[in-house]
Amino acid sequence: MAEIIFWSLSVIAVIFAFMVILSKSPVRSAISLIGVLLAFAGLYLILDSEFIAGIQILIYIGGITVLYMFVISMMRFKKINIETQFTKQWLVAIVSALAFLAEVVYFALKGKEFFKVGNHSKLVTANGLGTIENVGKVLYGKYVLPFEIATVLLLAAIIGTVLLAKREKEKM
Amino acid sequence: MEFLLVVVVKIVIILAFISLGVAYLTYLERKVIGHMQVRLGPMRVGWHGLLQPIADGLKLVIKEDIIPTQSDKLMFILAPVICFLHAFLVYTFIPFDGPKGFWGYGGYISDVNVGLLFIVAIASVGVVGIILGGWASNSKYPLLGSLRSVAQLVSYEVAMGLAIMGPILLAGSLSMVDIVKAQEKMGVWFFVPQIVAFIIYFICGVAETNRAPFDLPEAESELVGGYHTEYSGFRFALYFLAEYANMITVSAIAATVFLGGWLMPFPSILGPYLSFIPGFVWFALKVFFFLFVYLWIRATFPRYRFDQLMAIGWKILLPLAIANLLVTSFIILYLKM
Repeated sequence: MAEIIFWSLSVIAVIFAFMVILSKSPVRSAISLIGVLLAFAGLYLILDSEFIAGIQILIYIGGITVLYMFVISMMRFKKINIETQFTKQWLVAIVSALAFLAEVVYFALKGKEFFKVGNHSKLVTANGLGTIENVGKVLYGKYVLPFEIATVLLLAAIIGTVLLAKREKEKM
Repeated sequence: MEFLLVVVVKIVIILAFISLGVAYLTYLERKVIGHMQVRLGPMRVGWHGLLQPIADGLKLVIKEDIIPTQSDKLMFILAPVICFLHAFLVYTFIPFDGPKGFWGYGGYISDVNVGLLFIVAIASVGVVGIILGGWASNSKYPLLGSLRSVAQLVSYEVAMGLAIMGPILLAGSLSMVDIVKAQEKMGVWFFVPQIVAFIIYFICGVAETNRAPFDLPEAESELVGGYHTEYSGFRFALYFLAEYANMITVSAIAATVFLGGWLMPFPSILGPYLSFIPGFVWFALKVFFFLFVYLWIRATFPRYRFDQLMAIGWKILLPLAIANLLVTSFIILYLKM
């Protein structure tokens, strides 16, 4: 049962991912992106990570994609031809995508020798891997320093954005 | 197999109940505001206008369905469906009654250990339907309305999320059922120790559902009708139903998190006399109370200006919510030590 759900969600995610790249209208791309993200949330649910799934929906769909759409709908797009999307970058893109695919396949087959993953069943405790208790303990215990550094980085980005926006206003 | 059957029956019952509730909420609104303004409200269809919502629904279904020629047709059709779907999906996680309620089958469809997070997450996806509708109409007023709406929803979501954190800290769980059980154990409903969070939550709830005095996205004197100006017939009805379903959602969360969900008031005094009343009746009464406050507010306050709206959200409610969260967590830490 879990395998059927996994494969169908994966297929949905890939189809929507293609629609993100191929659709002519930026808003349609954004809507397809929501499809991709929802399929991913479903995949997290199969892995017993309800918290990550909820956060995925809340942050990526409710926050980030909505802001994308907010910006997109404020701009006036002329009809974008599909040709203009495919400039000569496609050669570079295909080469790097193929390289990435080869890498993924290689590590999927032989990864265990490089990364000592350990016994996966140990990670999934009775409480489940992605419950809030476990995520909180790991995030604010073991990895508290990287977490705090990331927050400082984000704060700096926010202050920088405010500064840039303010300067423009004063010129006017 | 029996489990599946029980779940399907529950879904059907809850969906039917909520749809009926939404329809009669429009009737309640017209009646309550009518009487507050010394009018009678709808009186013609049925006894005291009781069949008015059904007549309105029939009218909306029969009406001609117009899709503007310059619109993005697929997105225009999709937008109200997204809004409607997410407004009703939320009820999966709301406990109408305790685990022993509904004659032993459990008074909720599912009790996830992060139920409240899921509710907030799913409700936040509904915004997509609003902005999509405004954009797909390809018209000035819907676009302005949807931009306003999204700015408002994103702003108030932050303060709202922080306000619910207080009761979550007290309960120590994100599960809706556990939050109510924690209130039963504590002996006092969370609106007493979390009165600041309660007030912030309800103000944000009114803003989140685009209701007066925060109904700028639909300000009819400035924007015709807001994001659904171009919609007619059944598609308009979907937006309309979603908005009223969201009102019930906000009230239901407030009733569960702050007013003890299905619990009976003063169980030590009233317990022996009123224990025959099932839990979902108490829950419905609490939800009804919040809905009445909604209408009361609409009949009382004039609309805010847009800069006032943003100032209230970011400069007053958000700092207050953060302060409340800090004080609550310090007190809990102190009590644990």
